[in-house]
Amino acid sequence: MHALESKIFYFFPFIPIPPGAFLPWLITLGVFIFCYLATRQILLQPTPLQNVAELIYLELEKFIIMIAGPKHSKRLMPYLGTMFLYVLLSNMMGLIPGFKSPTSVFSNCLGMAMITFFLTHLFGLWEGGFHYVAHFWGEPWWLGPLMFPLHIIGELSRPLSLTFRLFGNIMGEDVVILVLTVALFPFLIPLPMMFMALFTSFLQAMVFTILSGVYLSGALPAEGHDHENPIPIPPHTEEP
Amino acid sequence: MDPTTLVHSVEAFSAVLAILVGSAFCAIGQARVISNTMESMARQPEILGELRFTMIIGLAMIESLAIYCLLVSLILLLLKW
Repeated sequence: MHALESKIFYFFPFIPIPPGAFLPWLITLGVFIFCYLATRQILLQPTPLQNVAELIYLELEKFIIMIAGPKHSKRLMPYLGTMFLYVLLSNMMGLIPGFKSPTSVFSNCLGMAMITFFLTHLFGLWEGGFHYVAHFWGEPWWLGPLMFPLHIIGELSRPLSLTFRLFGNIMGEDVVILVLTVALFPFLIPLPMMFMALFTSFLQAMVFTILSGVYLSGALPAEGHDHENPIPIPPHTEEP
Repeated sequence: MDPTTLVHSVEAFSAVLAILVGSAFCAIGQARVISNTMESMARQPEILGELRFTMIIGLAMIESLAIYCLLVSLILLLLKW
């Protein structure tokens, strides 16, 4: 494995930062510049760049409303949308020759999963308070000593499986492309695997976002049970 | 045989066995999920989006079992006892 890792053609050997730390900054900078250029001057008749940004935003919003429902989506949109774009761009970075997917580094995936983990429990404590802590104990109180460790293990296995799903898939696809490139022939041979990698990149970004959204909206109170802010009833209109 | 070599070969063998059995049964489970979802999609195309969304969540949940096997085999291969 180490012999293979050293054969990854990394373009920036003069930068004394490992690629797993440098390429996320590059992605962030790229997205920042794109967003700055696209929203610098918002017009009613959009410029081409603004059009692209609006398309991306609207599709993401539709996707996140499907995950989290219309009530929570407004609150979860910034986090989930950012996560989707970041994971997608990170996964696709491995397709550029000379680059290495930041998500094929274990620590990056662990970091993103930990953000989801802490945010989930923060939302739960914030919204539910004592009820959120009490739901770990389970419903019949005398089964609590059995159910409490099970709930804790279940909660801890979520970031673990999120991390390893992303890491395993992306590292696997990177290693396959690398083996085909190094061992066979670096032209046209790894191409079918790269198409496969395009598909997996998108799918894994989607799965990561869906699971984060499901965990996060599971910690928030369920839809339609909000007594403090009920959905406003439209004012009575005159019957024709 | 040198005992260290024996331990290493047993480690490699069990790592391969873990990921082999895990991914094989995971594939069977995922195939069942996908075929049943396709059947329901053909029967009720009007809830296609909802079905696809639930299918992806279920596939991810099933896949996490194979991921635990990957974790076990990575620990066996990379950790020096």
